[in-house]
Amino acid sequence: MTHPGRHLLLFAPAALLLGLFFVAPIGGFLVQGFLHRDGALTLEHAGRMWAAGTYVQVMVTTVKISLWVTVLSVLVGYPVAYVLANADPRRKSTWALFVLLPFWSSFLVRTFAWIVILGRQGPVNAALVSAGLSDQPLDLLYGWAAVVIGMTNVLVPFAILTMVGVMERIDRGLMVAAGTLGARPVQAFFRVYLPLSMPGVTASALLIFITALGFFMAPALLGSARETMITQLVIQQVMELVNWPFAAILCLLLLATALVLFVLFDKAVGLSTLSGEAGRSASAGSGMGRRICGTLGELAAWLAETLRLSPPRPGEGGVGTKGLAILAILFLIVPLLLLLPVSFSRQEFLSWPPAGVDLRWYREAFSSPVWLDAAGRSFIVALLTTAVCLVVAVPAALAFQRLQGGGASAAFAAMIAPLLVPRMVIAVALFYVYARLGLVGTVAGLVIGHAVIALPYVFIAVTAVLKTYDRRLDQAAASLGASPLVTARRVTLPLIAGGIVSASLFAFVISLDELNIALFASGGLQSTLPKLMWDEATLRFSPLLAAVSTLVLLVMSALVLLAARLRPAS
Amino acid sequence: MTHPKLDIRSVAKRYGEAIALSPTSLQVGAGEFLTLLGPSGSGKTTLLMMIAGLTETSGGEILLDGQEITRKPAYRREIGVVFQNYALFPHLSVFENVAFPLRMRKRSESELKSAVGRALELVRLGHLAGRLPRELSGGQQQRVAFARAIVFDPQLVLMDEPLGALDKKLRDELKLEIRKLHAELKKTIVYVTHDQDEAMLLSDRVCLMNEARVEQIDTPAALYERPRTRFAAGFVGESNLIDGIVAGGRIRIGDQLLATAHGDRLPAEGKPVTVLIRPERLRFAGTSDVAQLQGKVVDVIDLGAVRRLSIAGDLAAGLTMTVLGGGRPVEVGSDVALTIAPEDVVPLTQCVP
Repeated sequence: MTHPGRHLLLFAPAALLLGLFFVAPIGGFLVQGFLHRDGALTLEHAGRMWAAGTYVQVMVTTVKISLWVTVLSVLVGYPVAYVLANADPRRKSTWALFVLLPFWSSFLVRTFAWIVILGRQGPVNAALVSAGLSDQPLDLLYGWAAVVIGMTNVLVPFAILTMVGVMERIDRGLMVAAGTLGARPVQAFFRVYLPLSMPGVTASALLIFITALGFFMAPALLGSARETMITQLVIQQVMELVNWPFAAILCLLLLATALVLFVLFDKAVGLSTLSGEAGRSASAGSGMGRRICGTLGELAAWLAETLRLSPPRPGEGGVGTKGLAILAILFLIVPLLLLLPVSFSRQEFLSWPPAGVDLRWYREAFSSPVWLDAAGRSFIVALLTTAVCLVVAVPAALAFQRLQGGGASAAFAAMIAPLLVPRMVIAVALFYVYARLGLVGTVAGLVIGHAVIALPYVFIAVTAVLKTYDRRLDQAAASLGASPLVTARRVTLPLIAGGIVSASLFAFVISLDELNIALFASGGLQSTLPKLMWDEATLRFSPLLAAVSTLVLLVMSALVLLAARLRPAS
Repeated sequence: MTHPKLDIRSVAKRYGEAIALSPTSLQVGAGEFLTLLGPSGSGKTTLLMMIAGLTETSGGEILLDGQEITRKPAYRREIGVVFQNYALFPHLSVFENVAFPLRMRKRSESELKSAVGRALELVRLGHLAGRLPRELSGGQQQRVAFARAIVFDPQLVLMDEPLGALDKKLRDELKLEIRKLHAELKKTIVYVTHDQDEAMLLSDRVCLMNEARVEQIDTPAALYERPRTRFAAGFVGESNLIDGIVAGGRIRIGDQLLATAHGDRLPAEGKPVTVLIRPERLRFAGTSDVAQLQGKVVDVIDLGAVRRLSIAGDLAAGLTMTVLGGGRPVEVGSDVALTIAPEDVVPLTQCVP
């Protein structure tokens, strides 16, 4: 059991993948920002960026939008996470399904849906006009609100799933105890539950903020020029101007912003909350936050008393909480459902209400060699990505289990590092390297990029399963005469198979939906499904998109249900 | 007329078809220590949770100090609860945990400080006020939970297997401490446990529960000396239960006649009856003893302080007898003559053999 060297060997695949295709490319690419054409060090690109002013302005806009999206996502997600964490097992699976479906469904698909919903002819405007609230359709689309709504819609499921892990660890008996000590349910919530759930809230806020910083789909499809976000400028620098040094400087700006936040987070609550463990924030020292929460509790309790609101029963969410949760779920699900009628439209453009019922767009999708080719490539890439992720993440997770203290924190930070770097930065950096390695336009190039992006998710999922695994079973197997390999094959792996399946699903779905890498690395001809959908959205925007989106949604839903079926009841 | 502190009137709990508690009535006097004793599933925790207001009743009513509280939410009941896993708030210090009920009652800061200080001194944890719960040992956490449950001077304190999570040595220590605290504070306490030793040591009265109903309510001594049912006799202490027939104010067992000092507990002549004989009340017969039972020692278990003998003989196939340890060893296979005093032959009153 005491061969530290051998354990470290298990990290080798991860070190190889991340070293060659994460650290090195990003380093090599970012350095370009400080190099002159002749290779000498220079600050001219950075100086130009500062002098222009617009870039810093765009970064400020990016941070502003991301902050709004973060706050809204946490607020919308909190009641759902609460209900999900406290529901009895039977109802829990229903709630979980409604969260997981939007979670697994494509970023692109959900962003498209908002174009339809908020459009001048869309259902929201139709409802406003017919209700007499407005004389004419409003310009809801292509503005700040549309971008924030679209991004929030996409990110709320992340918020829910990050918070639910922490909430499930909160002992329900504590709320009951608070009741016997004289706390009204609202007071108990603000004084006990909310402080205990804060690690989950901060962890999800961090994840969402960093993800939001790197968004370009929502601002490009739903916003105007004023909502331009930094990654859009990066794309422009690389694709249109082929100005690598300047793209590198912009990426540095983005990365620096993300890192500053990350360090602040680690100082405040500790990294471990990202893996779902109670963080250091649950200390008696955090008097300020507790006082604020406590005061809120008093206020809410007083309000409830004055308004004669009936208190919810201890343990489960009250009617109000459930109502909020259901509204949030509708906000997540409805955009997906709206795509269905649109996909049967006879019209040339995506619009609302859809005219007629016709299968022509499905026929076109299935008869187009371009679409079929892209779909096939996407599935192959997703399968290979899954395989690579498992080969890299499972040994690393096994080794991680045996590390302690500083080594464990360092290993964890290294494994989840790709999660903390905006995907666009990874994509551009890989493109920069691929161009030299001849990997542009190859399946291998796509798979490597997707694997880097999906690795943290798979690692976290596998680590979570291993954490629940009772190591004494291995020891028992050993004492019964099983060699380490036989133990792994006949005891450990069968028991963690369910967790491995859901980890694989992570990799598969992330790959299937990944656009950043393909945007550059597919090289135009070797297009993936998301890349083709993106081109379609920016060029033509026909109901074909809705039809393909519906098909993608169906495949993803089938996968989610299959995974739920495969996972052993625990 | 003075009313009991806690008055439970025909309180029942059903979950659909399943009965968690049959209609149960029970009174607890002011300052009394009452224990709900029983195996798991006997309904004792269900009853406790209904008193606390954490489980709704399916019928009956609960009065605290003469006031009906059946539908009152837990947070208005003024009842302190010590939970089995303590339910200390992990994000709050020991001081803040104990201060919590006072903050809910909006006590002034100075009042709060002195009350928390007093409560922590009482459980001898004043020096740990700044610690977090997880920095305390199990026994210390248990004492914090107790301090928190009494600091707001509740009408009633409920304790749900508060020592269940601790090892035996600590349990024995804390049992004595709870006994002392009850004597000092004179609080009315309802205590749930499945451990008969705890019940015997702590209680003024024990309410023995089985299969969702009350089996017997009595002082610990009465419960031990005069159990009414086979279950009560078996659950509290060790017992020899022997079936016989009432014959002329005595009990006929095989061809033996056993005298009892509890003739009032016997059913009518000729009826079947079960008698209880505690293993430690059996004695080796001296030459002057009249009533003698003959038997053979078939097994000896030496427990140090006591020695447990299994004896086959006149009365029953297996009679258990306990004698003090030490002294002359008893040989397996040796013949013995036993005697039992009439006052130690206790007929069960609610028992069909």
